[in-house]
Amino acid sequence: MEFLTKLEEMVLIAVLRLKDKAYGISVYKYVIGLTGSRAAMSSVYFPLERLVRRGFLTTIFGTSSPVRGGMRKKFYRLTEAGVRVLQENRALAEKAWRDLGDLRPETMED
Amino acid sequence: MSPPPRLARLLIRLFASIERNESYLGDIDEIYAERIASGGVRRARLWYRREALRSLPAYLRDSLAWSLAMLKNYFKTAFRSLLRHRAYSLINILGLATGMACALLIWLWVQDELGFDRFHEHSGTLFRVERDNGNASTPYPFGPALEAELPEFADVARVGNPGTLLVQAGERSFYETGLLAVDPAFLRMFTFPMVRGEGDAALNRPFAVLISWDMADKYFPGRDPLGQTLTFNKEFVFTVAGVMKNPPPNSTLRAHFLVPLDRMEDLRATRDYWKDINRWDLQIFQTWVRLKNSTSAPEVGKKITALFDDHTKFGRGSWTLRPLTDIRLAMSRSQVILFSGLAFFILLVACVNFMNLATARAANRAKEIGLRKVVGAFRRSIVVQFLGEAFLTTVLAVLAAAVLFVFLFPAFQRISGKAIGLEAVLSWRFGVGLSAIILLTGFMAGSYPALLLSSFHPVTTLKGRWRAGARSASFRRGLVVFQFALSALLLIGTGVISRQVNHMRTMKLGYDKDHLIFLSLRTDTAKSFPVLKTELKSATLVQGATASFQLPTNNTMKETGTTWEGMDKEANHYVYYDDVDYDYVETLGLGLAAGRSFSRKFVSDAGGAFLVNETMVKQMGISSPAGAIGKILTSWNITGPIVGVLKDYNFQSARSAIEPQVVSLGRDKLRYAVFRLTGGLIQESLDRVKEAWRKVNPGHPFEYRFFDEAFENMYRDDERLGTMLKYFAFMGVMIACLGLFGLASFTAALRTKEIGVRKVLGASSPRLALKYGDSYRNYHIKILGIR
Repeated sequence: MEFLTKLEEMVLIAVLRLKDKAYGISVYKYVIGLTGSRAAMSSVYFPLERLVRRGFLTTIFGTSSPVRGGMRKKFYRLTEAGVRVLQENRALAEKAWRDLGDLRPETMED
Repeated sequence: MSPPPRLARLLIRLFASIERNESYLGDIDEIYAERIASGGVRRARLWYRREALRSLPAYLRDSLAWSLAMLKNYFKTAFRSLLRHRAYSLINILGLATGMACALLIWLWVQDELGFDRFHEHSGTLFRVERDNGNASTPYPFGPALEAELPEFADVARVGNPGTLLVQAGERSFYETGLLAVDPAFLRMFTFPMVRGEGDAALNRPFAVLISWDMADKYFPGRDPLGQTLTFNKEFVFTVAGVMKNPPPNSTLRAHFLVPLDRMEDLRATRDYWKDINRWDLQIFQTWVRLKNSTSAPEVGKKITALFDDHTKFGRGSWTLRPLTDIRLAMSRSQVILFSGLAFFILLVACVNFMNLATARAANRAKEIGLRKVVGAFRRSIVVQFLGEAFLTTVLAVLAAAVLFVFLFPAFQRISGKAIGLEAVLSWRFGVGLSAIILLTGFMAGSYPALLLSSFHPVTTLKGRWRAGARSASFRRGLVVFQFALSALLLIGTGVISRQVNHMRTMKLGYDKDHLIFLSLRTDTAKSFPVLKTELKSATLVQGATASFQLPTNNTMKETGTTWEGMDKEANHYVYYDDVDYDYVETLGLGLAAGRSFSRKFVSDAGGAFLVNETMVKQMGISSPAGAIGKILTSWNITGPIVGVLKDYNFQSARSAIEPQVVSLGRDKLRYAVFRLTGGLIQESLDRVKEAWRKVNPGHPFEYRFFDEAFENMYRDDERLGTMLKYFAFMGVMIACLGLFGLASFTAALRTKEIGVRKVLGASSPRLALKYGDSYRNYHIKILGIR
């Protein structure tokens, strides 16, 4: 299986949830809202483009508008591989966390 | 809507450009509009700026990672192609290395020339007071008058040079020329730091001397020099008051002994003039000044001229201030330019090699370039790749050049006659020069191949239909022609210089320089010279004995003090002046155009009579030498008739034109004894002179020099120049040949099949050699055409 960074995972989840409204701004806002971090906008574009290169996302160009300075929107959509890698990563996380119950300070001791 | 901040916009664009993510630009504009609507323009702009800044680290990280990855790939391919074509790489690297080693050596030489006298702390504000013709002799009261009457000077120092002196300390005695009599201000102006003892204060005491470290070692080895005494000319005892650091080799002032200025009275060979020392027409000192503000030099020069005219009523010509740093450069400027040009030429030839081989072998790389383009390389990145390859080769060449440099350095030191230490290599200037040479070479060598190779069309190269273009081939041919034209130029230049040197050595000087020796005379040996002469009269082996005030090969007494009847008083008349003994004309073998030489038969000769040369006759406006005989001349305080006209002879370096000269009998001013030995019996006749010298001047070392040797010395610089040029030109030609060899063997390799077919069909090897050699003959024809 292929591993994802946390940010990549969040971005993929955002694209999954936003369905056909997933483009730069909406993904950024979703990730910000989810994590509460105040990362720069540019920080979501690297994972987005990397995921495209790795074949987990495809892109479709939308329309342009004056407010966007004539630039088209770039919509992202999960590919089959993208769905699979999300599933695998989720399964991995669940498998890893199984039986651990609540994390208490004392369990860290031994 | 208010547009986003411009600079921030630029950053954002830059960021977007690496991913070529136009949607990012759109997205950010969209949020920006949203933010203006919700929070106002100011906050929106603030956000935009912050956003731009925050995109920067990510951009840098990302672009660097990618360019590093590509760089790794470039290096890999570069090394592979270097290794695959070892012979060509070797030719390239060797050529570039030789070129660079030459350029570095020349750079060292140029740097040394340019650095002359710059070690003085105040070098920028130090000037020598000179006539506009470069004559730097000034009167004794000149310096103090300048300091008292003009406000522009921070310091003024007079410098006197008494010439060769006999210096003794106990058993040790030598002749020395490095003694300067100076004002105390001298040490404040020039940077000759003291190692031990007192500094300028010592120069206020009448018989204190400051000596250099070398001299301390020479006269007091292993002893503390402070408080020791040195005896000058067997008469004057000086106490060592301090030891200075040695003057660096690139100093025009050779300060090995410093004594108080007024000691010139005792130490100079001729001494009776001191009563007249305050006269403004007695000019035997140099005057150096330190200006408060160096930009005022031209206007200070005018003020000095006015001041001089005020004090003298005979002010002729104007005065100027010559920067200290200009004194050496004035002599070597043309050489500096010549050698810098030479270094550039040699590098250029080496670079052309690289260019030629790189473009000729383009076929080997065409597929690689095509493939790179197909998978999305931009032309720019291919340019970067090939420039990078050129730089890689250059760096390898630098390493090879360093090895060559180490081997060539001692030879270079010997040939250039410069005391350049290895510390010069460690200076920052040299570092700058080295980087400049690397950059220049890399760029010159790499730019054309990079541009050419990156222009290949991917489809044609990949289909295998690519052939080296006729255009680049003819360009290559042009480059080779250019290379060889440069080489031819170098060879011609070398030839011209060596013939020039040869000419100067063999030209008719107007006297016979063979078997002629000279010795320096000092006060007591000058006085006893007539005795010596009588002593040698009976010696048949010594064919002539005379003496003179100036060295007959190098008269430096350029004066304005000579007048004659019917002279145009307004015009500027400079004449070279000399005082000689009887038999001067005969001993040197000078020719007479008219009249006679000095003779004891004419009692009046001793009271005042002159010999002049033909040029002087012309300057006097007399048409024939015979017409000058009997004309009355006044020079200094001697008045008398011209008794003879000398045929023009070279009393200076053959480089300079023959100037007017006036010679009088002055038996009290003699500084050089001249003897003519017998050819074939040199040693015997020399022994005879030595014997007489010992007898007449006991205790004085017999230090003689041959004329032709001194004469050679005058052309040593020219010869060095010629030798250096010869070697460097040889290197340049070698590099060019190396390149042509590479190119030719490459073309031959391309035609292996053709040659095979020809041989199968019966062509003989010599025929083939002739056939292919023929195509290179064209080059030489072209070169000859250019020449």
